[in-house]
Amino acid sequence: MSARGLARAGTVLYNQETGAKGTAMIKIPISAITPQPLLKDAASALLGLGCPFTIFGNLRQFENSAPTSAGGIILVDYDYAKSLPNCALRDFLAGLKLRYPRSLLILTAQLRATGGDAAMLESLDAGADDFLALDMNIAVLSAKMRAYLRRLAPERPDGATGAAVRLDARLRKVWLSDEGRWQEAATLTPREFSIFALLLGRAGQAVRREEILEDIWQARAGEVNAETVDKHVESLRKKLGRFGRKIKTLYGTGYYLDEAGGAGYDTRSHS
Amino acid sequence: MTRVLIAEDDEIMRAMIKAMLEADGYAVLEAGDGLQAWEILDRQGADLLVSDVNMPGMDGFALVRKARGDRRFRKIPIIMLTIRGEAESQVKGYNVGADEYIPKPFEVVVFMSRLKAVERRAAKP
Repeated sequence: MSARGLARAGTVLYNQETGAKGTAMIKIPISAITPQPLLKDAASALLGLGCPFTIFGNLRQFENSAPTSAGGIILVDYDYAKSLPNCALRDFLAGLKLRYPRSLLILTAQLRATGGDAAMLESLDAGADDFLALDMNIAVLSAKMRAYLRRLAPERPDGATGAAVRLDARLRKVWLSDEGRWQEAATLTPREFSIFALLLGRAGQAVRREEILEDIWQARAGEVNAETVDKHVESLRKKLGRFGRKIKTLYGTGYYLDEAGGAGYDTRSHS
Repeated sequence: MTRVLIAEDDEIMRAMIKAMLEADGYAVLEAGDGLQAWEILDRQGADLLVSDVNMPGMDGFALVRKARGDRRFRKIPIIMLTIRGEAESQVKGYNVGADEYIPKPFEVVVFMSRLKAVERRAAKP
């Protein structure tokens, strides 16, 4: 599927590679309301998030298909919002907020040069939850979208009740629950522990190999082959036994921790 | 009153941000480095964190990662504020858990508008 084809309005887009494999992936819908085609790179970045992504040519199309109870990210083209007759930007956003109170309302400009800070300030002052210029660096756009998704993700199960795994960051130890009885897992190496903590911290969300490298190896990330991550994850899976099967591979992308079955976790100290 | 913790080692910048926030009705807690910021966060808590990246002891990335790893601060709005505006640094900021990344220098009105937008995003049910 070409990126150009992804950007047309009126089509429902879904990235099978990063989204469809995980039954418990958090699938927060992303909608773009824009009469003009999205920039190719921006469309690819949005699609790459692994969430259901739909482009609507106008507000009516969107309202006809989106249930108001649903939370999600609604991207609205700034020029389109400004062009609506007899409707100030503030009123337009207030109306959308009333109908979609659980959603993030983000105004977008195709090119920063056409709007700049003035369009951003006008949008934020009118009540938009953010303003994005879609010609920004694509890696930054993806990272910012993931920050929105984190915001909208439901709270994970808390505390020991029902938890399937406990971590002690200080002692670098892991306990796993087997039918209510806690058992200490095999000793993890520092990197295995860090990778596991990272996946747990973003349970249910895709974590790219590059992010793991960046987070765990930090300044040395550029010197380490992505296959090294795969080897650590494979070892981690073995050491975690049955729980290891919850670490799912997203082919060509990275990993995510499957939350199916209510796998809560607890990262307090249990020394 | 919303309590904002400012982690910033540059005293002049910290005083300027403090003045902006207090003029808008926020209460401000101040830390001169990441470790001090973590101590304040751990003991007193805060409603919003504004953190510089380059700080002695514990840098802003480490501070944000530590905060997000603690369930008390998993949902606290976090803004990173830094002269390191390059894409890699911004991506890292978002990846460790920041909600917003504002490069310095910035206009007061831009900073306050984006801070309020971050608060709105954090307030979503």
